[in-house]
Amino acid sequence: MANTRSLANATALRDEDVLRRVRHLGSARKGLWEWRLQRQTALALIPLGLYFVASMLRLALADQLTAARWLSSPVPALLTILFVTAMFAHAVVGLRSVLVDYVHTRARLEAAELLVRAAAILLAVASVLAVPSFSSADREAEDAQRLRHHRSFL
Amino acid sequence: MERPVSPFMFPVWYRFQINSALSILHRLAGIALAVGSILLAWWLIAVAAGGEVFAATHAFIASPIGILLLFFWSVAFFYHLCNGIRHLAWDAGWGSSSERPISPAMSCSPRRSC
Repeated sequence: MANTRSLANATALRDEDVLRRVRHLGSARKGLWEWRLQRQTALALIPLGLYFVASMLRLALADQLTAARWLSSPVPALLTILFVTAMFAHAVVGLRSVLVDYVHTRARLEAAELLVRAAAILLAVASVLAVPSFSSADREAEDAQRLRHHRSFL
Repeated sequence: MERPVSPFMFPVWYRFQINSALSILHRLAGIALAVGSILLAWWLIAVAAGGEVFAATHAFIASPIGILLLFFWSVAFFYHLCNGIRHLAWDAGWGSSSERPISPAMSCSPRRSC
């Protein structure tokens, strides 16, 4: 990309005098948008993250019925969806800056960024889609438990 | 070749300072959190899927390795949270004043590179 030389570039005395084309990774374009998104999701993640970690203290080792019941009530469901979305957006921007620092080939950088973004979108959408289905999982688990109680009576 | 070459500068030729150590720790914690969030999303999907998938996930999380991973993820979370608040304070403008800070090394302001 940096090897095409027009006549104007060729006749400039020194490149640092006249920079006619932005080199390397190009101009920042959506860089400021990403920077602001990073800070906004960081602000949102302070309460959301604390809330999520506090609930995980109770739920990480709980059985499915407890977890599904907690996640089927509206406020935890909403906060979990918000947390997952904000966290994956924040993670993508953060990992992008790490990749830009340490991957030096353009092709590998693009491939790595694509991979990270694809994984984040996949996990985020899957998690968000999982939350409304908690109400049906809740009912399923309750039915299963009811069946087990009936069987123990026989 | 005797001269110091990156990444072999630490700790012989370039001593860690508190601000650079905290900064790289922030980055490492962020990467650890991102990797751990895969397990987090997996757990959410497993709770929704139920049955076999949830049993396997729960067995992994309840195992000693799982508990250790959860613990380290929490450590990384709280460190990244507190240092992140420090970053946000810098972005808001605090911390780059001309008065004497508590320790010169703590004044890792946006004006000084960390």
